Amino acid sequence: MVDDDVVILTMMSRLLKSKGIDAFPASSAVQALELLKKQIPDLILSDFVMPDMDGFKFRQILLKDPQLRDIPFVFLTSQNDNSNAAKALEMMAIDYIDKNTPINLVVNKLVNILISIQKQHEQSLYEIGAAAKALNLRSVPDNLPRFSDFRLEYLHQTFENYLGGDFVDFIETGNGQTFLFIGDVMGKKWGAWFFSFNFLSYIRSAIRFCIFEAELSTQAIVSKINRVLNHDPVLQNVLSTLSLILIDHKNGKITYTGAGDMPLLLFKSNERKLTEVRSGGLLLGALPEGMFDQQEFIMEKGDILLAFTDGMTDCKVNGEAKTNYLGFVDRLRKYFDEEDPFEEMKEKLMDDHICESVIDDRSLLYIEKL
Amino acid sequence: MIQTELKYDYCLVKITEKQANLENAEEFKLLMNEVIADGNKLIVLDLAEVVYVDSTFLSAMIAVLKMTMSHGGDLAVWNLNDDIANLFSLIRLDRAIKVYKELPTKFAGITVN
Repeated sequence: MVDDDVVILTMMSRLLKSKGIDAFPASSAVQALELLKKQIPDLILSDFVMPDMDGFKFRQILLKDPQLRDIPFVFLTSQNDNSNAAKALEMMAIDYIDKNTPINLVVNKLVNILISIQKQHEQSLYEIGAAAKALNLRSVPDNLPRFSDFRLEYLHQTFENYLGGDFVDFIETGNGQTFLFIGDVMGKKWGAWFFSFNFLSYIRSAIRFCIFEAELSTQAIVSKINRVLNHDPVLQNVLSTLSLILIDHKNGKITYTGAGDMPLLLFKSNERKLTEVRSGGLLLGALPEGMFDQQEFIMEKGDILLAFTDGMTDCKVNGEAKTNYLGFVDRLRKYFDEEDPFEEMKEKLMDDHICESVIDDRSLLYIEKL
Repeated sequence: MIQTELKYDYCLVKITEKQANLENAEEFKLLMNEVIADGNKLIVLDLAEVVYVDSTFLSAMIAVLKMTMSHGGDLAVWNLNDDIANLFSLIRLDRAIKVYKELPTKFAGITVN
């Protein structure tokens, strides 16, 4: 809200707050531009006539900034003449409100505009989601396969209903082995989601080719995927994490290669201890020589292996985003004493925040030796 | 968003944002492109003011590493807070980008020593 009349600003702020809307008042366009560096609002309301920089100049500056130009903009003025109205609408303002309108009506109008923006936004998300579903574009499976020797589960939560860059999938070799993988295309919301399909296709094809050639080394597979990605002009500068896990059902052996992923967490049932399984590989697409290695270990009855994306560890604390890996691991520890650790995680982990809010989509892969 | 200073044999680039994220990653890449185009091949990023780096900004840092490498240079980082240093180690970014605890008098990175 930008107006050099502090009385109007204060009154409107109070009224908006009483309707559950946070208003950020600025007494000049210069001050508003400073505020916009820290906070992106759902709507901007600005007076026309102000000293130093008027509403038109302010709007012109916003229109030149790709991050600010699409924020819905409403002009407020007492100079209610037709030429100003036309000028306002030419500058892609969504509305023009006469300052002489009683203030409670102005506030009601703003509330209605905000509600309709929110509805449009939800509708767009719903339509894109529906289109993705119709095209069978999914980055997580409906279910993971059931086995008598391993229990496989996953958790996945989108961020503010946007489909994001996280992906989870599996491939059965048909020869007593199962590949499981989880990853996160770096970036946020739609951009990351779009690229997650390219990554998923590469990963699935590389695994399939290696199965045909009886090459079941996770290190070789991840190295091949990385080599291809480093030559792909479309995916240049798009990076992804990957945890590739191969389960051998004959002997309970796990083979794992990671690419820039969070360490796996292994709960050893007989020792009641949670340990990290670290891999040396860099992010997929980072450098042609990805420094990939391969970890191998046996899972015993009751052991649980977890792989997860960084959305599980990042959150907002006191309004600031933070990485809190250690806090996340600490929180996990208590679930292993429960009768069904996965059900506890499913029920509590996604809501049991040690922070104010999550900031990315988040996924977790759960592997339990039965 | 950045301040540059020539120091010893490298260019020290201070990131003046608390949140290095999706919103400023693209601008960072463009500005770093100019720094490299000005002939600076060895670059140390100073993250003293940065509280959090999201995955989009990490991607931008790797893009900058690649830019320096294509000019025969290298990228290192300095002044990481504990969370960011831990993240670099967790996802092995410290194997591609050298993390300094103290500023060196001569650049020593991973690809350029």
